[in-house]
Amino acid sequence: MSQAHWTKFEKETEEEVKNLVKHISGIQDEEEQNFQLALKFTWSNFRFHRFLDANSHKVQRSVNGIYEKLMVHSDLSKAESWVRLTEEFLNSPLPNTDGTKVWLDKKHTEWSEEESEDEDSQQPLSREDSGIQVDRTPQEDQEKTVPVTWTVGEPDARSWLEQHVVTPYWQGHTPRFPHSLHLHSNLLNVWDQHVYNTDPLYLPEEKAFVTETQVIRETLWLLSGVKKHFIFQHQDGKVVVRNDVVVTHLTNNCLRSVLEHIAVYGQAVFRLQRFIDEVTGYDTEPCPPGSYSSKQGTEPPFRTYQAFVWALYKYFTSFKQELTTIERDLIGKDETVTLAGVLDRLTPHLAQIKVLHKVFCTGVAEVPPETPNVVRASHLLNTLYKAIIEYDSVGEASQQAVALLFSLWTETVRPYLEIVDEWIVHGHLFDPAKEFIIQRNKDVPVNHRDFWYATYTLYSISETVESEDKLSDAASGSSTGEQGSKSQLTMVSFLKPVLKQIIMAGKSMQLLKNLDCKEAEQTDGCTRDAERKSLYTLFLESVQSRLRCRDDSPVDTVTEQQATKQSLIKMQSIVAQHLQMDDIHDPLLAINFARLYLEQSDFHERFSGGDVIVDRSSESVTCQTFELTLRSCLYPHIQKRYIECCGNLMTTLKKDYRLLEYLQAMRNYFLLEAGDTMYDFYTAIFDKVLEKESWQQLAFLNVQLQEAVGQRCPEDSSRLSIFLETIDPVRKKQPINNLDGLTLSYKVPWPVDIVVSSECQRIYNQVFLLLLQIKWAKYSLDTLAFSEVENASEDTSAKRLEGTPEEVKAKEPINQQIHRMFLLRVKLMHFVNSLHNYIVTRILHSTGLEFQHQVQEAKDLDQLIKIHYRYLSTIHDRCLLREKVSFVKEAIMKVLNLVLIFSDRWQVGFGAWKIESIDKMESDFKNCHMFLVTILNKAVCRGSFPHLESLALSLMAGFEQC
Amino acid sequence: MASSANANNMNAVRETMDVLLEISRLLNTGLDMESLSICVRLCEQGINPEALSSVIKELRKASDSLKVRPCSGDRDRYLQNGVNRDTIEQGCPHF
Repeated sequence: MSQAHWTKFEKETEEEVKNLVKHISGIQDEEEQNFQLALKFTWSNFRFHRFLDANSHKVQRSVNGIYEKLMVHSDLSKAESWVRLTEEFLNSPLPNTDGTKVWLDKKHTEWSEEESEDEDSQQPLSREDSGIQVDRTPQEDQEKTVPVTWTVGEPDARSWLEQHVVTPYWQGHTPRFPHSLHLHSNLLNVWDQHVYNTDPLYLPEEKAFVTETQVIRETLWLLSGVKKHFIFQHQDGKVVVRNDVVVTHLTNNCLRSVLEHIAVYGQAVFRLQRFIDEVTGYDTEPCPPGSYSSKQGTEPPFRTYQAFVWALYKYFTSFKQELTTIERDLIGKDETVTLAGVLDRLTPHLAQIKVLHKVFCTGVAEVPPETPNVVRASHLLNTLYKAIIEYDSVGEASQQAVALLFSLWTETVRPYLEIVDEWIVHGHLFDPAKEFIIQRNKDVPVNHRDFWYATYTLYSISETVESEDKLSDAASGSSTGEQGSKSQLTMVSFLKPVLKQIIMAGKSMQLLKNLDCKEAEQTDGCTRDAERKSLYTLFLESVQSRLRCRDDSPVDTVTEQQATKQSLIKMQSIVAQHLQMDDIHDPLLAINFARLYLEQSDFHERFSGGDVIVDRSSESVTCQTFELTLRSCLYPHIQKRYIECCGNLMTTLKKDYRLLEYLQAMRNYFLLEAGDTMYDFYTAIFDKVLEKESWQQLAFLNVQLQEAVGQRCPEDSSRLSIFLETIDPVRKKQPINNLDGLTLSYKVPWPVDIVVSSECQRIYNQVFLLLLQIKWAKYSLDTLAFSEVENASEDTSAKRLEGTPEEVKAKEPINQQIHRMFLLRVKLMHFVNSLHNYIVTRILHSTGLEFQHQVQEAKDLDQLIKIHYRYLSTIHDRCLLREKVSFVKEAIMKVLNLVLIFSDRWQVGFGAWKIESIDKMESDFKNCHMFLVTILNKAVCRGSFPHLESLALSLMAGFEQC
Repeated sequence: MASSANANNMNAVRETMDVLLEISRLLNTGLDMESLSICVRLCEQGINPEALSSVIKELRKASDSLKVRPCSGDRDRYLQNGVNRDTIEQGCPHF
C-alpha cells in the first residue's frame, strides 16, 4: 500500500486498527511477525467481508431477541437492564458522534455530519424545513448517473450538493440561474421595463428569483403540511406569501395572486394538521391559547375527537399520496409540470380540503375552550350531520363532498356507536371522557328504588346558545318524549329517533345484569358474545350492502353479472392451472375454489385492515338517502337490540321476580279482590264499631289483618301491615270519616318496587279507603235486623195498653214511622248496592282485566310502569276520587254518612226516633240522590263518561220509585 | 460558548460510552473500556461492525492458542488459516 497519498482519515483508521490488534492479541511489538500477520488478517477481514451493512431493523430484532432470551433464562434483572441500556443508548443525544449510530440511519448521519461541519455558515433554514431532506430524492436519482466521488469528511460536499441538487435559493445572495432569453420567459423584465418607463416614481425592488419548479415544489410541501418554507411563511399561525418572490416569466402580481390562492389552502391544511397533532398528542410546538391539547395528558382520551382525527388523517394520507405522485412526476422530468397543471390536478382535493376546513371550523375550532366534552362531541357530530344534509341538497354538484363527509361522519360516529353498543349489550355505560349525551349518575346504586328514574342524565345541547341544560330525570324515556318539541335541534340529531330505545335498552340491560339471572343464560350469553358483531360493524355492513345495492341498479346488473362471470372464468383458469400442477383434474373443484377466492377478495376489499372503506367510488349517497340510510342501516339494529333487551327484562321480571303476582297481590288486598280474606278483616273492625268499642289500635288491626291473610296466603302476611295516620280532628266530624287514616302497606321487594312504587301505593290506598267506606255502609245496612224494630214496636204497644190516650194516638204515626224507616232503609240499600256494584264490577274488575291484558303486551319496563300508572289513574278517576269531581264524591259521602246515622238510630231503638229526624234523613237522602242523578245524567248525556251509565241508570231507577 | 458546547458534547459521549460499556458487560463480550472505545472509533470510521466482531473473536482465539502452545509454526499456520477462511461462526451478539 503506497502510503504517499493516504488521507488523514485513512491514517487514523490504520492507527486504530493497530491499537485494536495490540489490545486484543496483547502483542506490543509492531515489528513482530505475529503482529503483522494479525494486522493483515484484520485488514483483509475489514475490507473483504461478507456482511451486509448494518440495518436498524436487524439490530432491533437482535436486541429484542436477546431480551427474549434473557427472559427465557429468567434473568429478569439482566433483561430489564438490557432494555433500559439499549433504549438509553438509542435515545442518547450524540451531536458529533453520529457515526456510532451508523446502523440507525447511515444516510441521516452523513447528512447531519455535513451540516454540523457547516454550522458556522449561518444557514437560514434548519434541516427540519425539509428543503434539503426532500431534495435527497433527486440526489439519489442522479447518484446513479453521475459517478460520485464524495465521501464523509470531504470539505466541498456542500458545494457539490449545491451544484447537483438544488441551488440554495432560500439564501439571499443567490446567483441568478441561467434561463432562456425568449420573450415569454422574460415577461417580468419586460413588465418591469414598461413600468419603469411609464411611472417615474417606480423604484425597482430587491427580488428573490425562483424557478417555477421550485414554486411547485414548495406548493406541494405546503400542502403536505411542512412548516418552514421560503415562498410561504407562517406568521402567527397564518400562511402568507413572501413579497419579493418572483419568477421570470410572470409578473409579480400574477404570481402573487396564484400563490395567495394556494396559501389559503395551505393555511387550511396547516390548521387541520395542527389539530391532528394536538389530538394525537404529538406537539411540535407550544400551543397557542385556546387550543385543547393542554388539557390532555391526565384526562381520559376524548374518543370522538380521536375518531374524527383518524378520519382526517386517513384523508390526508390519500391526499399526500397524490402529492407524492405529482412530486415524483416533477422529479421524473418526463413531462412538463406547470403550476397551473398541478393546481388543476389538485382541484378536487382542494375543494375537499375546503369542505373539511369549513366543517372543522364550525365543528371544532369555534367551540369555546372550556366547553364540556359532551357538548363538543355532539356539536361536532351535529355539524357533520348538518353539513352532509346541506351538501346533499345541492345534489350532483357536491357528490364528492358528500361522499367525503359521509366517510368522515361514519368514522367520527364510531365512539358513540361503541358506547351505545357497550351499553345496550353489556349494560355498562363506558364513557370515561364524558362525551356521550347520556351519563350515569354515580350516586345511585343499581339496586336502589330510584334506579330507573334517577340513574341517567341526559344532556341536551341547544345549538343556538351552546349552553347545556341538565334535564332532571330526563333520562326516563317518557320525559324525553316531553322534551322533544323543545330540543328539536339540540341532541345529537342522528340518534334522536332511537334515543328512547337506546335509553330503554341500556337501562334494561344494566338492570338485567344486576338481577340474578339464571346461570345458564349467563354462560350462554358469554359464548355468544364472542361471535357477536358490534353495532358499529353491523352498521358498516348495512351501509356497505346498501351502497352496493344502489350500484346494482337494474341497468347495471347485466354488466355487473357479466363482469363477475368473466372474473369467475379467469379465476377458474388460474385455479385449474394450480390444480394441474398437483395432477388433479377436477373442473368442479376449480370452479368452487374460484368462487371462494372471488368472495374472499371481495371481502378483503371491503374490510381490509379493519378500515372503513365506505365505497367512495360509488359516490352516491344523495339527498334524502342519508337519513334513509340511517333509517335502514343503523336504527333497525338498535331497534332489534332494544326489543331483545327489554323482552328479556320483561320475561325475567315476570318469571323470576313474579311481577304479575305482586300486581295481583296489590289488587287482592288494596282493591279487595281477595273478597273472603278482606271480609274477615274489615268485618272485625265494623263489628267493633257496632259494639261501640274502640278499634283504633294498631295491634288489634294488625292482628286482624294477619289472621285474615295468614290463613290463606301465608307468604303475603309478612309483607302486609296496616298503619293509622293521625287525621285532622276537624275532618273526623262525620262518622264515615272515622275510617280515614287507615293505611295498608305492602312491602314490595326490589326490583318490582320500580313498578309498584310508594307513590302507587298511595293511590291504591285512596281506593282502598273508599272501598272500605262503601263496605262499611253496606255492612251496617245489611246487618240491621227487622226484629229489632218489631221488638221495639211491640214494646211500645205493650206500654201503650197501660199508657195514656195521647200515646194511643201516637200509635198510628209510630207504625207509619216504622214503615217509613223500612222504606228508607230499602232505598238506602238500593243506593249503596248500586254504588258498590258500580265500583266493584263495572270499574275495578273490568279495568283490572284491561290492565292485565296490557301488562302481557308491554314491551319494556317503562311502558309497563306507564301502563300501571295509567291503570291507577283510571281507577282513581272512575272511583270519583279526582279533585275535579269532588262534589260528586261529597254527595256520595253524605249518603254514606246518612246510612251510618240511619243504622245507628235503627239500633238505638224505636223509642229514640223522632219524626223530625226521619223527615230530615229522608229529605237529605232525597236531595243527595236527586243531585247525583242529575249530575250523572248530564255526564252520561254528554257521552264523555260511558262507564258512568250503569250507575246513573240504577240510581235513576231508584229515584223514580221514590 | 463553544467550550461549553464542547463540554456538553464530551459529557454526552462519556455517558454513551458508559452505557455501551454496561451493555458490553451484560453481553459478556470481555471488552474493557479501552478496547471498546477503539471499537467505537473504528465503527465511526466506517468499519463494518460485524466484521469487526468476527475479527476480534478470531484474534482472541489465535492469541489463546498462542499462549497454550507457544510453537510458532502452528501458530503461524493457524493465523494463515484464519485469514483465508471466509466462514466465521456468528456466536457473538452483533453490534
